[in-house]
Amino acid sequence: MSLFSLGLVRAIVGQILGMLTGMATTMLIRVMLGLPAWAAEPSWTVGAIFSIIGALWAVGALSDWAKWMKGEETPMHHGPPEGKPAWTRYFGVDYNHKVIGVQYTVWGIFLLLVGGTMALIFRTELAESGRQFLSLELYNNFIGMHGFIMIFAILLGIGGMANYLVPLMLGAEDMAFPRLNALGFWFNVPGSLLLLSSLFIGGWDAGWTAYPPLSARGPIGYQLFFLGVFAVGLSSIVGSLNLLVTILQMRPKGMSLFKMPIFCWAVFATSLIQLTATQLIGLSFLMVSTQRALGMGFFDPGLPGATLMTGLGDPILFQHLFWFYSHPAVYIFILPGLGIISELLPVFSRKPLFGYKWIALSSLAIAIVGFLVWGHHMFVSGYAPVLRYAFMYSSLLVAVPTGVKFFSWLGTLWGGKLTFETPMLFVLGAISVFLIGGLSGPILGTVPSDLPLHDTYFVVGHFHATMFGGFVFPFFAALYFWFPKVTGRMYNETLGKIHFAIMTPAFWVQTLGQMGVGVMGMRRRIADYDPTLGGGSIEAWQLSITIAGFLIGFGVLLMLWNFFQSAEVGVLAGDNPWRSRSPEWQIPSPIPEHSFASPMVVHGEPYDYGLPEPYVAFAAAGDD
Amino acid sequence: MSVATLGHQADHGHADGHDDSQAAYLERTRRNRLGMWLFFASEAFIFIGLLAARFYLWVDEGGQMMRPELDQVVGLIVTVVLLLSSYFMNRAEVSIANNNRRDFLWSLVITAILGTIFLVGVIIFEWGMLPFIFEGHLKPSDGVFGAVVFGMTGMHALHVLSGIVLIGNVWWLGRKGHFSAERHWGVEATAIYWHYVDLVWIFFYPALYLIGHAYGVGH
Amino acid sequence: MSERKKPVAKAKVKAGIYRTGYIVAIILAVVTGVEYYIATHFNSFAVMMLLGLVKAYFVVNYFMHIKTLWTEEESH
Repeated sequence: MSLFSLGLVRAIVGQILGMLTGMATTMLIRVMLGLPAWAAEPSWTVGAIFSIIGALWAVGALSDWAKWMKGEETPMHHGPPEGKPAWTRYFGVDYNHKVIGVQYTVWGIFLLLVGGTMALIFRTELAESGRQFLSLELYNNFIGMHGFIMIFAILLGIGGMANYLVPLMLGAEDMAFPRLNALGFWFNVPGSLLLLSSLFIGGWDAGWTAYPPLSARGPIGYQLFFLGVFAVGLSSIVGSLNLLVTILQMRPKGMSLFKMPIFCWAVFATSLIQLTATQLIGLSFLMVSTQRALGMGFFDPGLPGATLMTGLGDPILFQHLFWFYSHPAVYIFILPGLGIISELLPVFSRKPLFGYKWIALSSLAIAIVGFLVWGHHMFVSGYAPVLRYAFMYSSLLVAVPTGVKFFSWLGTLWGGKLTFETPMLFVLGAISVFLIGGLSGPILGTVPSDLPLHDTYFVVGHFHATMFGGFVFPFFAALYFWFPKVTGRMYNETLGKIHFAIMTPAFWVQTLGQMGVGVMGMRRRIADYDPTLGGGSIEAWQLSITIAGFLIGFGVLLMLWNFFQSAEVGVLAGDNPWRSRSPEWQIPSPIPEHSFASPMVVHGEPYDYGLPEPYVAFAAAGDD
Repeated sequence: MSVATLGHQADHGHADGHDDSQAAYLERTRRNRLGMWLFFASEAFIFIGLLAARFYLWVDEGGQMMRPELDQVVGLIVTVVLLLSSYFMNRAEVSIANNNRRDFLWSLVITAILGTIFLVGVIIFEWGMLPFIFEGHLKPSDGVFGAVVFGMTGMHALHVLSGIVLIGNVWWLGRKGHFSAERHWGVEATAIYWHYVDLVWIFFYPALYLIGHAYGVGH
Repeated sequence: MSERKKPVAKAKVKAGIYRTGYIVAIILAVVTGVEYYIATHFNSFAVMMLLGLVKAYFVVNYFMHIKTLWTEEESH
C-alpha cells in the first residue's frame, strides 16, 4: 500500500502543489501586466486560495461533483475502500456519517492538543512576572493562535458529535447530503493547516479578534489566517445546512419535532446560527483581506480631511460585522454541549427530562436572542451611547432561557436514582463550571461594571468558564458516554474518574484565578504584568493558574491514553451499557455499516425512564 | 441483514441510494430544494452585510446619505439585461418541464449571453478594467466609495460568473439529453440560483445607483 | 380525428405556459422604470426599498416558486 492511497497525505501534497500553482499564476499575471514578478501579499493570498482547492481536489472530495458536471452517474460506495485495509477509510473521503463523525472528532482533539500546548507555553511565561523565554511577537501570535485553533477544535468537536449522533437519533440511514458532509469535513484540513502555517510567514499578532487597523497592516500571516478561517467557515455552513435538512426532512413517521431526542434540538438551534452568522465573519475578514491586497479602504479612515473618495472607512464597522458572528458563535459552541447535558442527565437519573418543551424552545430562544447582543463586546469601542442600553438589556435577556435550562437540569436531578459513572460526573462538572461562567456573565453584560473590567483577565476567566462548561466538559462526557457505542468496548472507569477528579478542581482554580487577577487589574493579551498588583499576591495567583493549566492538560492526556488502551483491551460493552432509551443504543455496538437493519417506529416519549413502553422499536424485516 | 431490508432502507433513509423510482427522485428533490433555499438564506447574510456596510459608510459629515455618481445609463442597461436573463431562465425551466427541448436549449443560450453582457458591462464599463475601451469612474482604492462599489459588484459578479458556468454546464448536459420533463432538478437548481443572483441585484442596483445624494467623482 | 386535434391542444398549452413569465418580466421592467424615475426626481430611500421588495416578491414567488418548499407537488 503506497502512502498516497491515504487521503490525508494526498490532501497535504495537493495543498502544497495548489499553493505553488497559485503563486506561479500570480507571478505570471504580474509579469504580463509588466510588474515585478514577486510580491509577497498577492502571491501568498492567491496561493492560499489555490491551496484549499488543491487539497480538496487531491483528496477526492470534489470528484463526484466533477462527474455530475460531466453527466456521469456516481453510485454510492458503502464500506471500506476496496483493496485497502479498513482503517484507511478514516484517512480519506468517506460518505458514511459515522466515519465522518469520527474524523471530525479526532481532528478536533488533535487541534485541541495543539491549541492547549500553545496555552501552556504562554502560561509558563506568565507564571512569574518579567519576561522569561517568549519573544513578544511569539507571545502575541500564540494568544491569537490559541484562540482560533481552539475555536476550530470546538467547531470540529461539535461537527463530530452532530454528524455521528443526529442521523442515529433520527433513525436515518445517513445525512441528507453525504457528499456535502464529506466535503464539509475536508474543508477543515486545509483550513487548519493554513492557520498553523501562518506562523511561519510572520504570523498574525492582533489577538484572535484581528481588529483593524492592526490586522490591516500586520505581517502576511494574516492572509493565510483569514483564508484558513474562510475554509473552516465554509465547513460550518455546509455542515449546518446538511444537519438542518436532515432534521427537518429525515425524521421517521411519528417523530414530531417535539419527540426528537433533545440533542437534535440543540443541534438544530446551533445550525441555524452557523448557517447564517458565519457569513459575517467571512465577510469581515474578506474585507480586511481586500483592504490589504487591493487597497479597498473599508476600515481605513484615511488622512485628516479625507472625503468619501479618499478615505472615511471605519474600524468600528469591522467590530460590528465581526461580533455579529463572533457573539452568536459562542452559542454555537455551547448549545450542543448544553444539549449533551440535557441528553445525559435523564439516563443517569433514571427520570424523564424535566420540561422537555421548555428546554427545546430555550435553545431556539438563545439562538434568536444571540443575534441581538453583539454590541456588548463594544461598550468601550466608542459607538453611540444609546446603543449601550439596548445591548445591555438584550444581553441580560440571554440569562432567561439559560436559566430555564438550569432549572430543568435541577428538576431532572431532583429525586432521581443517581449513579455516578464518568459521563455523569463530567455532566455535573459541566453544570458547576457553566454556573461560574453564567454568573460572571451579567457582570460583564452590565455597562457600569463592564467599563472597568473590559479587557482584563476577568473576561478571560468568564469566557473560559463558559467554554469549559458549555463545551469541553460536556464534550468529554459525550466522549466517555458514546465511546462504547463507537468502539464496542468500555473505557477504564477508574482512569475516567481520576481524570474528572484532576480536571474539575484544576479548572475551578484556573477560571476563578483568572477572574481574580483580572479584578486586581491584570490586562489580557499582555505578556508581562506588575508584580505588585493585588498587594503583591498576583504572582502566586498566576503560578496557581499555570499549575492548574498543566493539570488540565495532564487530565486530557490521561483520557486519550484511556481511550487508546480501552479500544484494544477494554471489556466488551454490549449494545446498551447505560440502559438508555435513545435509538442509537438499541442497535449493535459498534454500529454496522448500515445502522438500522429495519425501519424505526416511534412508540413512546424519548425520556420516559421507568415506563415499560420503549421510545422506539424496529419493525421486523420485511414487515412494514 | 437481508437484501429486502436494504432495499427498503434505500427509499426512506438513503440520500441518493440506488432506488430509481420516481417517488424516490421526488423525495430527493424535495431535500435538495430545501438545501438550496437554506443556502440562499445563508448567502443572504453576506449580501445584507455588504448592504449594511454601504449604508454605514456612505454618509457625509452632516449624516446625509451619499452615493458616488456612477454611470446611470450603464446601470440601467445592465439591470434590464439581468432581469431579461431571468425571464429566459424561467422560460428554459418551463420548457423542459413541458418537454420542449428546442426552446429549453435556446433559452439557456440566451440567458448565458445576457449574463455575459451583464458581466462585460460591469467589468469594462463600471470597473474600467480595460481602460483603452472605457475609462472607469472609480478605482478600488478610492476611499469608501471605491471599496464598497467594488466589494458589492465584485461579490455579485462572482455569483454571476458561477451562474454562467452552471448554465453552460446545464446546456451541455441538456444537449446530451440529460434532462426530462419528470427529472430536471439540475435545471431547476440552476434556474433558482440564477434568479437568486437577480434578486440580489434588485437590491444592489438602487443601493449603488439610486439612493442618496450624488457626489461627483469625475474621471 | 384525434390525431388532428392533438397538435392544436398542445399549442394551446404551450402558449399558456410562458404567460406567467411574460407578465412577471413586464412588471419587473415597469417597476424598474418607476424606480429610476423616482430616484432621479424625488430621492426617497423608503420608496426605493419598497419597490425593491415588490420586485423581490415577483421573482421569489413566480420565478423561484418558493411555494414548492411547502407544497407537495409533482415536478411541475
